[in-house]
Amino acid sequence: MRKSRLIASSIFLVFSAALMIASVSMEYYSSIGPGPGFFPFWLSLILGLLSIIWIVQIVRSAPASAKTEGEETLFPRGGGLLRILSLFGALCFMIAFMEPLGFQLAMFAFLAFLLVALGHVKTWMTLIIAGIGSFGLFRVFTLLLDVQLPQSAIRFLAAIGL
Amino acid sequence: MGFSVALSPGNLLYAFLGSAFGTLIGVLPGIGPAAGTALLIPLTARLPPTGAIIMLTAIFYGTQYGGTITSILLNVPGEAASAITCIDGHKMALKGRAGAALSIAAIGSFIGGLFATIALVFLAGPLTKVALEFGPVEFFALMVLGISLLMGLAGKSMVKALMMGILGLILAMVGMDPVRGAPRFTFGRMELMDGLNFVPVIMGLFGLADILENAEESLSSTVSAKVGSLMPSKQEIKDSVGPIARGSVLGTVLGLIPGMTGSMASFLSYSTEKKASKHPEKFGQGAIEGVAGPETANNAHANGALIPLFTLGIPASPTVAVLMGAFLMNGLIPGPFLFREQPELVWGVIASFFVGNVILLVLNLPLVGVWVKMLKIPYSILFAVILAFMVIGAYGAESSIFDVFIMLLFGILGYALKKFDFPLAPMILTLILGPTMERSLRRSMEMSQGDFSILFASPLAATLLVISLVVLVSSALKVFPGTGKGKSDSGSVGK
Repeated sequence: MRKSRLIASSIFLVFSAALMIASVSMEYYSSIGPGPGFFPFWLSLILGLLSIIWIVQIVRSAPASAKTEGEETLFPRGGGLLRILSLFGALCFMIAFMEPLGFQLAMFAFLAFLLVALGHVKTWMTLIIAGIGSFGLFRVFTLLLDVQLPQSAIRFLAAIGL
Repeated sequence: MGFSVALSPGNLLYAFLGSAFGTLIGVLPGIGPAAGTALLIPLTARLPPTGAIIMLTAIFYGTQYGGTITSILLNVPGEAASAITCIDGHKMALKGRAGAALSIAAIGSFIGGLFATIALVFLAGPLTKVALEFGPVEFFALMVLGISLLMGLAGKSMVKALMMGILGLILAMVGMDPVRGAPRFTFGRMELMDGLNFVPVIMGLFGLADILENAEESLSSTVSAKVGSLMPSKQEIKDSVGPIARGSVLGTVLGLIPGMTGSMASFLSYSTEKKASKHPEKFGQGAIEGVAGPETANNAHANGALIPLFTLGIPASPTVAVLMGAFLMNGLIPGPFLFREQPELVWGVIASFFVGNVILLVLNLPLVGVWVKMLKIPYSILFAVILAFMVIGAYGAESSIFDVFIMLLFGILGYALKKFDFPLAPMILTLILGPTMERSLRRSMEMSQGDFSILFASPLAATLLVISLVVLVSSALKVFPGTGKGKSDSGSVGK
């Protein structure tokens, strides 16, 4: 856990350094007061200082015994990790395919995957929920609530209303 | 004037829908009020501004009612402000008195909500009068105070709260510079020119991050719960009068203070009632006072937290910050000028709080069985449906797939930050207040030709800044080892 915290605090430190470098290229001050780079510079500096304080706190905190260190994990392993990665993958699929396939088909596949793979929901129930969540919600949002959701970029799919 | 707006058929419908959605969000574990309110913002995108704000505020205070149901019946808080209700509420349920606990909680919430709304009506005039005298310097100082209070109270680790506050301000810098129009941190993406859209950011941080956290465990679970008679006994009613009265005042007062959350209000109310009780030993065994006080306080807090938003334009909590974002999306700037420029809208929305609380009382008493049925939807189905709405919500706000990507990005960030016990509330508050804050400071600087002493030239601004400094320094003292909480990073830092 201590190692994870040190990695996280170092990421914050590197992030604040990168921000500071980026903010230097912006105008810092003008005749009428602070320029676009003023706030980012000071904020990245403060974030960097706080990251250093956090690192010091972690270093000064009592180190856990080797046994505890091995047992305590911040992030899940095994099934938990697989479920999180599956969720991540499903959302990446939506981002990649929602516009090419259209909302309805992409959402149907997205929901079907989540319900079957993660929820272990029965097939008939999956089909009903995925159908309502994709084709049904598309109509509710586009027709009733006037929220624009993408139709397929593939012509023949768009031609049949998908 | 307000009631004629609030009681129009359209606005009544929006108040009803908002109350129902709010209760639903409160009932369903796994989605909190901030993410829930953000999730439903796209639903209001095509509504008239008054209707949209009525609906969104009703969602906000409706969550406080709904959260109680799961706390009492399942010992699982639907949202954080109802967590303390689990102690005595669930014990009452185990004794077959769930119905009485739900009734008292709903009545207490109703009275607390009304009390805070009446306070808003009386405080609106004096507070806006004062706020109208504010210039950019005073507004900047006020925002600094609000953020300082939130950071000081946000968690056990002041360093982490500050880091989150600063991170929110940095994220608020993304987009065009508010004075010069120069692009900052846009990476050449047109989608970032107007800044980060706060809807996908909040849905990611508060909604997706929670779902990812829940996915660590198996997602298959179902619940069953019985309500019993809704009628409280004469003794239960008598025992609830004092806690409801104290909870109303306590919640409203705490709602006025930025950084004080609904959970703090309910926890303080619980400890107050325990101290005030002649039988403190009953607490934890199913004491009605342990339900009446906290439930009144958290709803009074929810309505009270709208007072600084409406009168000063300062959000007191993350969910109110989401509401402020919704105001801004509708082209409305909450604060004293709104009372002057759009009195019909402001008073209409305030009147709708009375209407909304009545609707919520009806939804939560006779119709409590409907919400109990909702609880029977397994989480294995619920999480997928919530994700579908989140994708639509993120995409629908700007019709942009980039925003779905932003939601995913902030979902992962929020999940990781929660793992390291970072409080997320300061980040949301500064993200939404950041642009206004920067604009106020830079306008002040323009007025003084770049002289920073202008911040201390105004006695009010100077006082507010000094108070902010005191709050931050007193909280920061805890950072260093030897003063208590500094050692928390060895593994026990709270959220």
